[in-house]
Amino acid sequence: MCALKREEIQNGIYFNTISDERFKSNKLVVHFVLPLKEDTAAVNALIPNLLRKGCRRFADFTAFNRHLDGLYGAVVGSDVEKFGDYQVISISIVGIDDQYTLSGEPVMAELSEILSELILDPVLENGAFLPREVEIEKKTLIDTILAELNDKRTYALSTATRLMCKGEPYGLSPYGTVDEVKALTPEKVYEAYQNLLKTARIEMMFVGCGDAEIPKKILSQKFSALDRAVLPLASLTAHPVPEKEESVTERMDVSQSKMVLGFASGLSAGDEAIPAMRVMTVIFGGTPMSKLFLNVREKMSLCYYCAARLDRTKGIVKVDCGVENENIEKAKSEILHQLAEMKEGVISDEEISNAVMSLVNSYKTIYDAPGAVEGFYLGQILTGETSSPDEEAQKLSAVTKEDIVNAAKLLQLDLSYVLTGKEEK
Amino acid sequence: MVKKEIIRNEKLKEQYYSFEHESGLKILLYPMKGYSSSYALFGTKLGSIDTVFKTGEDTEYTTVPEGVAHFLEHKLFESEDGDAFTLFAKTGASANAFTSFEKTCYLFSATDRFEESLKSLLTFVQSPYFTQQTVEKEQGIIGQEIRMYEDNPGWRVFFNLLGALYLENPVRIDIAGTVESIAKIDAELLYKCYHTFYNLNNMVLAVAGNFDVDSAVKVIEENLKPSKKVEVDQKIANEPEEIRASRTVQALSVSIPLFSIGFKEQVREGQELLKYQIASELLLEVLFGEGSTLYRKMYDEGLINQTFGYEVFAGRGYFSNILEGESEHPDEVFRLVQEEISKAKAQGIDEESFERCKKSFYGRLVRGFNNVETVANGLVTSYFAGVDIYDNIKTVEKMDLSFVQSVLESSLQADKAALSIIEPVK
Repeated sequence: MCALKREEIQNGIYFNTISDERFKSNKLVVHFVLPLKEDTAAVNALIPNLLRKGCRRFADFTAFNRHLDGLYGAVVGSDVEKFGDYQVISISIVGIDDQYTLSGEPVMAELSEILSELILDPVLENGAFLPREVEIEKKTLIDTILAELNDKRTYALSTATRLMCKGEPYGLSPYGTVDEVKALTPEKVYEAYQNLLKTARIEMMFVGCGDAEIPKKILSQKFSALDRAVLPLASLTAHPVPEKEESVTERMDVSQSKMVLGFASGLSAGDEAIPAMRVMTVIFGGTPMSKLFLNVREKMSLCYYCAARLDRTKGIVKVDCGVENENIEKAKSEILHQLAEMKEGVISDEEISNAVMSLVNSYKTIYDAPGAVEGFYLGQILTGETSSPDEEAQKLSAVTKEDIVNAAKLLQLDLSYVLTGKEEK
Repeated sequence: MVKKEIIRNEKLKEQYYSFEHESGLKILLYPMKGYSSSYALFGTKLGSIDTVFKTGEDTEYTTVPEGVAHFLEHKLFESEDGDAFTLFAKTGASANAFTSFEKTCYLFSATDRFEESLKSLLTFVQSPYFTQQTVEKEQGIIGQEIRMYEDNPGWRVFFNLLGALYLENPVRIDIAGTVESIAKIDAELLYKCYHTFYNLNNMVLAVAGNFDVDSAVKVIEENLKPSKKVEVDQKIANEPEEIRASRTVQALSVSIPLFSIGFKEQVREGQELLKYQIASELLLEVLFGEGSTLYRKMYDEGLINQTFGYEVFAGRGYFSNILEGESEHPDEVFRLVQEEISKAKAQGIDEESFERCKKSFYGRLVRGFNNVETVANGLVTSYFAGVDIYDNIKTVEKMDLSFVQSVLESSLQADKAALSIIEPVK
């Protein structure tokens, strides 16, 4: 069930198939994987926003959307993400499978054609994207960058990442900055687009119940015309463990303070200690049975949420919580106390088996949603792994208490970030 | 079990089982072949809007503080022997709960040892344990949850809109209540609400995904406690047709203003509600979807961005059509939306747009059956609304242009419209 079939169809272009007859739909994604860099982040981020809106066959965005409605509400998506030090630019299309249409008419071949045309046959004028379209999408991208502030929990987490990883690609926003977006021209964007087609690693993913040979044939044929000179991607590297902790407080008009504690471990994806670090993070703050939930929330009644999460690509563990200003120090000292206890081995066998079972449950649940399956395997591919969710789950059973204590011992406080109100209460 | 039925849908090639237990509990079991996980929901028809009610034995209505349903949800996880999460941790299942406007649901998702988790779910929801001390502890935690939402512009813009549209219906109050209202809650009040609403006659159990129907039925029969049938009279607020205000503005730390535009519509229920809901969805898609002329105009002029969307927000005692998004010029968006509606009312909807949006809507519904969580939630939502999970698809297939046209004529009225804005702090 849901095994990955991976083949290189051309220089640096891979077609990944995950066939699963349980689903009623097909999802097709083309990911461009590039190094995340300050001077190209913004321009690359603009590209999928332009491409998603049409192609020469459907030059008009409204006519294009109407065509998609006619294909049973097929959805075109565009995405820009940061995965470790990589920037991943994606265009996707999702639709129901041929067997579920009202009169059995086929749609999958057309979805595959559309996706390849969106990417390879955009509307151009004088050898560049349409200036008006570029201006519209620049504004949309600027809105996306600015809107990060609207959700204070997300804002606090990404600000903490920026501060912790200053000078590293991972400290950059995958969207670039407002000023970088403002400076873009149709020519610069077109140049970056051509560079993307020529040099990026391309990962195509198919997840669904339909016949994968249809999209594979169409995409292979269309992409074969590309002149490729692939730039190899550097392997993902860990965030370095700092000498000392940094503290940053930001003031804003908010009613609840947000605190993020960032810890460095020196691990990176693929490291042998990653499964132990996963279990450690879950025991620390990953479930309603975790140390942070039971103590900071249930016992001390300080927070509604207080959770820990691991970014395996950088070996960073972040703890975040929403708390009253006057309780910030109390919460921080309890979080650090819980970690210190874990380093000393205060972990029960029951906590370990609960955490492992909870992770196994999450891995097995991945199989049940096309989006989750797709995201899981892309992550595996980018970290150079091919194991299935089941195989990842199996790795956890080998984790011992000693491994978990050792993982906890790797964690060093790197940053304390607090977002708080303007006036002292 | 007193009644067993198999409900099929030929188009989807799917079916599920519906049981009725002697206690009045409805049990909906939807096995999905080949899936790894199972998702179970145990829900009661008690939501944030149920602040005034009485049972068959009462003569007078009882009014309870806002946020009681949500508070009760938090507290039910605690039993005399400890936390309900402990029960699920032993099997790796992931448990949770939520309170919405009209219901409270307790749930788990499991890939292994399903029967044990199902037993845990049934046990803890049927074992209330509230003390003054644990209630006070929860006031601190929920207080922080409320504070978190105070800073959430997406949440605020929506509730400010509901506050502008509704004068009486508690739908306009935050689901968690307020710091002041939850301060009035004590253990005795929680028991009163529990014994009123958490009787099996007022509840539903739905399971979707990977499980065996016969063993599920066995676990359920063994673990249901005797429950007296309580008839609950949930008073629906006497809501006037008029709105309270046509514009509301709040300043928060945001970088781009958020807006929410709402139209207050006539309240409906059951199959009729479903039919009007679907007609309204189609109408909003025709007028404001990504394939509409207005969407294109507003997007190209930079008045809206990709966050723009619509929602039909309807249930017991409320019905409104809502448009939301981010914009530097929300008043201009509001003006253009109203202009488009007047134009459509005068000219009508064309057949092509209607058929296109119908196909698109149908496709989205079919895709929902990919997902165990969506199916389990769909079973509960449709049961409490007095319909069946397949009724959505059937209603879309049968929907015709003339009905949508008649809905357009009677809804989206200018004097029932309100605009809510969250603007940046100056």
